[in-house]
Amino acid sequence: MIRTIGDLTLLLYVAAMAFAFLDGGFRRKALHLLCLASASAAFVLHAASLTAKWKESGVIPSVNAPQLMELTVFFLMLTYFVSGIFARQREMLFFLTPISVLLMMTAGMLPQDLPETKPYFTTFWFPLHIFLIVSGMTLVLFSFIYSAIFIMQDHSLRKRKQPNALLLPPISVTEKLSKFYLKTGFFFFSAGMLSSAAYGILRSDGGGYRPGLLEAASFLSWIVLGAATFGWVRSGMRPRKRAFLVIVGSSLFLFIFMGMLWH
Amino acid sequence: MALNRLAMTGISHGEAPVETREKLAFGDDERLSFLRWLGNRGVPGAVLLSTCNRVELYAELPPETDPLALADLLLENRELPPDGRNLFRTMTGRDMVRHLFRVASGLDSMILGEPQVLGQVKEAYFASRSGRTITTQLNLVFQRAMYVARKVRTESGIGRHPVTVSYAAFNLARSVFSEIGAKKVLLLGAGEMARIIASHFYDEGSRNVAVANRTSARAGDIASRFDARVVPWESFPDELCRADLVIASTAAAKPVITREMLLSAMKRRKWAPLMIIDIAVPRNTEEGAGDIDGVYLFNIDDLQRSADLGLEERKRRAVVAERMVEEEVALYGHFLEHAELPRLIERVVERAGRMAEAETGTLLSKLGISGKEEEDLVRRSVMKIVHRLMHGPITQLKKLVLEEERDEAAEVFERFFLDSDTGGRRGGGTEGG
Repeated sequence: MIRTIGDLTLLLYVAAMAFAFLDGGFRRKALHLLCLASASAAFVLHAASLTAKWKESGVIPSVNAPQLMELTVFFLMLTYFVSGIFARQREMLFFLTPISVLLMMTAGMLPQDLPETKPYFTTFWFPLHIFLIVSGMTLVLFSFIYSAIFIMQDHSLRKRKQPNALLLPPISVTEKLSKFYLKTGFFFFSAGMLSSAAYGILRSDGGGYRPGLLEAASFLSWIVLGAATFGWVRSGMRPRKRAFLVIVGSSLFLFIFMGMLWH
Repeated sequence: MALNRLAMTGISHGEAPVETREKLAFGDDERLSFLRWLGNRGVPGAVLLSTCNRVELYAELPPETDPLALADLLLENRELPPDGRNLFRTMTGRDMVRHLFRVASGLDSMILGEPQVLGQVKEAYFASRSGRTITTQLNLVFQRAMYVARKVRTESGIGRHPVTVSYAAFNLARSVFSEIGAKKVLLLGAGEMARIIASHFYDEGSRNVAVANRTSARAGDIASRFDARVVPWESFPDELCRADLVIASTAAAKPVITREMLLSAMKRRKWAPLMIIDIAVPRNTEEGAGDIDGVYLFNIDDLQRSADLGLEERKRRAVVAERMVEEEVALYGHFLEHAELPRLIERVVERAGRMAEAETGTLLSKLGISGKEEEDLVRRSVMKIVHRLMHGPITQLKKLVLEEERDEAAEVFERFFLDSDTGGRRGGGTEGG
C-alpha cells in the first residue's frame, strides 16, 4: 500500500528500473521515454520530500544512515539529469535505477532514529561537507560504471563478440566519460575531505585535531583515485590499467562510505 | 476506389539470371519515353522500377484488361520474344500492394533488408510523377509503400545488422568510435576491398584520409577517389600515431605492421584507441599485435563472422517485418474500401454550406440588414441550424463505416443530400460550384 510520498517515490523508482531493464533488452525508444518519465517523477517527489525534511529539522537530511542513503540517491539522479544535458547516456539508467532502488529500500528497512543534534550539524561546514562528499561519491560512482562498461566493451571486442559489443556505447565514449567523471569526482572528494579537515582544525583551535580511522581510510581511497586521475591526466597509463584502478578506488570509496553509515 | 485495377509485372533476381535482366533493363533516359509509350497504348498510369536486381512495371490498367498484357507490352518495347513472359511475375490488387511494400522494405532484395532499394523506389515514383504518368491510385500506393518501408526498417530493425564484410567493418568501427566522420583513416595498400570499406567511412564524412602504398601511382589513384593525401611508404609507421583507423590490404608476404611498431605508436598517441582492419591474406599485422592495450584488430575472418551473424539476425527480424507488411496491406485495403465515404461527407457538408450562404445573402438583402454585427449574427444562426441538421445523418453514416450495409447507406445519403435538385451524380466533385 502507498501511504507516504516516500512509498510513491520508491514505486516510481522501481517502475523506472523495470522500464530501464526492458529498454536494455528490447532497445525501444518508448521504453526509454517511460523510464525517463518515471525517474523524473520520482526525482521531483524525492526532492520535495528531502526539502520538507530539511525544513522540518533545520538540518540537512544526512544525519543517519537512511537519510544519507536517500540523499545519495537524490544526488545520483541529479548528476544523471544534469550531465544528460551535455551527453546522451541512455545506458546509464540501466545501472542507476537498480542502485537507487536498492539504496531506497535499504534506507526504508533501517531504523529511522535520529541522533541527538550535534553542534556541527548546524554550522556552515556540515552541509558544505555533505554536498562535496556526496557529489564526489556520485561522480566517482559514474566513473566506476563507465570504467566497468569500458572493460566489458573492451573484452567483447577482443573476444570478437560483436553483437554484444554493439549494444554498449563506443569505447571512446566510455573512456571520455569515465575520465570526466573521475576528474570532477576526485575534485569534489578532495574538497569534501579538506572541508571536514578544516572544520576539525577550527574546532580544535588549531592544535588537537587527530584524524580517526574513518579519515585514514578515506585518505587511502583518495590516494588510489588520485593515482588513477593522475595516470589519466598524464595519459601514461594503459587504458585497462586505468579502468581497473578506477574500479578499485571507487570500490574502496564506497566501502568507506558504507562503513561511515554504520559509524 | 478498388485495388483490382492495379497490377505489377516484371522479373527479379529470384526468377531471372542477370543475362535476362540486363536485356530488359531501362536506363534513366529511357524510362520516361517508355512510360509515355505505354500511355499511348492505353495504360493510364505506370511506374517503372529498373535496378540491377529487378525490372518491374507497376500500372493502373483500364477496366477489363488482362494484367498479362502488361508483360507483353514490356517485352514488345524491349523487342524481346513473347515467350520470355514465362519468367515474369504478374500480380494484381492486394498481391501487388504486398509485393511493392515488401520490395520497398528490402524484404525481396538479394541482400535481405538492404536500404538502397527504397531510394530506387522513390526515384521511380518521382520520375513518373514529374513525367505525369502516374494515376491517383498509383500515387497513393507508392506513397504508402515509402511510409511502410520506413516504418518497417525502423521498428523491425531489419537493416541494423551488417551482412557484408565491408559494412561489418564499418559497423565494428562504430563500437570503437562515436563520431566516425571526424576520424583519421589510414589506408595501407590499395586493394579493392579496402576501397569499398574506405568508401563507407568517406560517405559518413571522413575527410581525413591518408594512403600509403609501395607503388605511388596506385596510391595517387586511390587518393583522388577519397580526397586523401599520399604518404610515402617508409613513413607510414609515423602515421600510425595520428590515425584512428587503419585499413591494411597490401599484398606483402610478411606482416608490415609489427608489434614493436604498434607499441611505440601507442605510447606516442597516449594509448588512444586504434582500430586496425586487416583484410590482407597473408595478414599484414603481426601475430599478437591485437593484444596491445587500446588496439582493436580485426582480420577478414572476424569480419566475415560478423557479416554471417548479421545475416542470421536479419532473417530473424524479417519475420517481424513480414508480419508488419501484412498488417499494412490489410490496413491499406481497408482504407481504400472506405475512401469514398469521407469524400462523400465532405461534398455534402460543402454543398450545404454553399446553399446556406446563398440563402442567407438573399434573406439579408430582403430584410435590408446591412450592419456587420447583425449580418454575422444571422449568418452564424443559419450555419448553426445547418450543422445541427447535418450532424445526425453524418454521425449515423460514420457508424456504418464497418457494416455490410455501408454502401446502401451511402447511396441513400447521397440521394438525400446531393441528388434532390441536381439530377443525380451529374455534378460529381464539381457540382454546385
